[in-house]
Parts: sequence; C-alpha cells; structure tokens
Amino acid sequence: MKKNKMMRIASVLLVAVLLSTCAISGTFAKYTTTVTGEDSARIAKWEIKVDTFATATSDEQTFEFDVFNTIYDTTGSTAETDVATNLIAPGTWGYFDLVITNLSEVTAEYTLTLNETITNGPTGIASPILYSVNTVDATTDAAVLPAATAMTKAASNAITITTGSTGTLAMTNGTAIVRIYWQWEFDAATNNDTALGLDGDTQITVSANVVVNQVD
Amino acid sequence: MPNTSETTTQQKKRSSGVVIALLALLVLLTLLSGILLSFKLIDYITVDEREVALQSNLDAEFDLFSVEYKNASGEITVTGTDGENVIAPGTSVEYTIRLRNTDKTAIDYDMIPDIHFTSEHNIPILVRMLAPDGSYLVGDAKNWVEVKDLNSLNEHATLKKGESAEYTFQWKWAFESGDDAYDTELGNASVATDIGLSVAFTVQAEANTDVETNGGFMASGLGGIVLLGLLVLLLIIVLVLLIVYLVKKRKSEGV
Repeated sequence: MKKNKMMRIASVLLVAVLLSTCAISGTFAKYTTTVTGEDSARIAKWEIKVDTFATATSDEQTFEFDVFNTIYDTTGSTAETDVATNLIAPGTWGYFDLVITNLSEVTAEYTLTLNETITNGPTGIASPILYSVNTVDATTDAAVLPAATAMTKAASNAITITTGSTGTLAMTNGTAIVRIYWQWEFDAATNNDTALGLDGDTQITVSANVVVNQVD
Repeated sequence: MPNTSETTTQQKKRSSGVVIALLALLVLLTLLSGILLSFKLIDYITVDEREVALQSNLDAEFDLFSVEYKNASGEITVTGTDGENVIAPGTSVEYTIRLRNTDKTAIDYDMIPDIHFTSEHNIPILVRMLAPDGSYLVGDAKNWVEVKDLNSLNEHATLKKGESAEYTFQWKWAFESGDDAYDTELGNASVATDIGLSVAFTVQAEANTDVETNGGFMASGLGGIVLLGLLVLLLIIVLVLLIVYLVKKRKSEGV
C-alpha cells in the first residue's frame, strides 16, 4: 500500500513538473512582430482630344481649324455656287464642328474663344462676319443657320460669344460637339461689302482657342 | 521451490526497483524542465519569432488612396479606370492608422514609413502625420511637407496592455499647386506610362517586459512567474525528501 502511495505521489509530481514546464516555457517568451500596411496609386490620366487630332501631349497644343471649309448659300443649306471656290462674299455662311473628347480619368471643362484678324483690308472697315456657337448631339445633325440677330460680330479682333462656348466634359469618354457658325449677311443694315469687294485682297483669319481644365 | 519469505523478498526488491526507476525518471524530468526553462530564459534575453498580439488595420486593406474622389459638391470628379487607385490635382485623403495592443504585456514599437515612386517623376503630393496626442510628427498645422520627406519619420512609442493608438496620415495634391504645366505634364505622361507611388507603414513591435510599464509586479505577470518558479523549487525539494525517505526506509528494513 505504501509503495502504491509512492507511485501516486510520483505520478502527481510528474504531472506537476510537466505542467510547470509548459507554463514557464510560455510565460518567458519575448515576442516580436512586424506588420506592414501599404497602398499605392498612380497619377490619373489627362487625355484630351480636340476634333480628330492626336491627343494633347502638353499644356498647349495647336490643331487645324478649317472653319471656312464648306461655304453655303444663305438662301438655304446648299453649297454656294454663285461665289468662286474657297472665297466668301455677302450671302455666304458655313460652320465647323469642333469635337472635344475627354478621355481623362478626371472631369474636365472647356472654354472656347474665337479670335478674328483682318489683313490686307481697307483701313477702318470692320469685318462683316457674324459668329455663333452651339453644341449639338452629333456631327450628323442638320446645320441650321442661326438668325443674324443671334450671332455676334468681332470687336477688336476678339469674338465674344457667351452662349455655348463653355461646357463640362465627363471623365473617361465625355464628348462635346461645338458647332461654330459664321455668316456674311447678304443684306446687312450697315455694311462695307462693296468696299471690301473692291479691295479684293481682304483676308479674314479665324482662330479658335480651346482651353480644357480639370474640374476640382 | 523457493519458500514464501524468499518470494516476498524478491517481490519487494522488484517493487523497490520500479519506485527507484520512477523517481529517477522524475529527477530526469525535473532536470528537463530546468533545461527548458534555461532555454526560454535565453530566448527572453534575445528575440524569438513569435508574434505580439498587435491588432491594427494595417494587415490587409490600407486605404491611403482611392479609386474615386468627390469634390466639395459631392460629385465624383476623379475615377481610376479598371478599379485602380489614382491621384490627381485636387485630391486628398486623411487616413487613421489604428494600433491596439491585445497582448498581456506592454509593447514597444517603431513605425517606419517607406515611400516608393514607380518612375523618376517627382509627384507633388504633400503630407502630414499626427501622433495619437495630436502633435505633428511630420509637417505642422500650417505646413505640409513633400511626400519623400515622410521617409525621415521613425516613430518609437509604447503601448500598454489593452491600449490603442491612432495616427493620422494626411496627404493632398493641391488643385492650384502653382505649377499647372508640370501637373499637366504628369497627367499626359500617365496616359502611356505608369507614374505613381506606394506608401507603406511598417510597425515593428516587441514585448516590453518592464515591470513599471506593465502596471507593477503582480499586474506584469512576474508574480505568476515567481510563483511558478517556487512551485518547481518545491517539487524538487519534495523529490529530494522522497528519495531520502526511501533510502532510509530501505536501510531500516535491511534490504
């Protein structure tokens, strides 16, 4: 019986030793850990296309602007046949569609300004050309000559057109089609048409400046 | 045929042998526990690879940057195609890095930032970093610093058991940074090239076994360790006493 007791005591001791060993081994550890959080991003693309020309690769880009490409008769929407090719005269009009596309990853807004310059003309005679800007849904939309009263003449070269000259371009594929109309009235109230015609060498140059900015 | 007394003597000898063997085993185990304890003490002095129970939102998602950004009117004005994080002029983020010590002991930790640019372009984002007490670790209330200057940060602090710490990381790309041409250049170049950056924060934590930091002797767990040590010592004493008792008993029985 005594030896059985010894055995029991020994067993208890054995368990106690093992438990204490485990407990001690888990208590004295000096832990370390390393956690890392990381995130990355790339710069959002800025990609603006004006008309069919290549994407702008700098903050200033020149594009071709052929506003006098097609010349119509003010009596309708047919090509002018009473004036020699590539010339304008009283009773002619035309338009040019400027397609501005925002392929960027940011929202953008555009501002269009027109500027007119007369060279080689008789002194003191202003340009007879009227301008207006409208946005259309598609370049295939029928062109309708606006009323002369809704169009603007250049003053000191700058053509101030407030309507239709600004707009927002949605990101990734926002497009605006800006239609620029011009007209030389056939029967303007005050005109110097004859003087200009007699001069015969007057050159009218129109430039368009499209500024596209990111929207904050 | 051996008589009854001889048989009894032989059985006693066998039993005594078993007891001695068991006692020897116990002694060996005691020695073993002592050796293990020594190893752990060595580990305690150095460092092992086990982890402190440090909870944070660092592990998986770390949303410093975003796929989309809204303007003051709530309109989305920046979107990364294909779900990619992007940055652009006028974007900014304030992100809270939360650390929580769920271990039984205090921890000392270092927070180390790491900035990488994916190209040689300098990205004009500005940053600031606030400590849990609201003081500025990088930049100050009026001044932001370039993102590359974040690499100079090496925050060292301690978290007591159960404590949390919140760091605030802020970045912005000013809409009017003063160099629109450069911003545009970056945006244009980004069409064909990946121009970006990554920001990482690594937290290296180590158990702090300082008694005071851990709330005193008992709260630190050292009391328990000492008690366990005493228990082991007591067991060894009992073993020794048991062996002495058995030896004396055998002598008194004349075995």
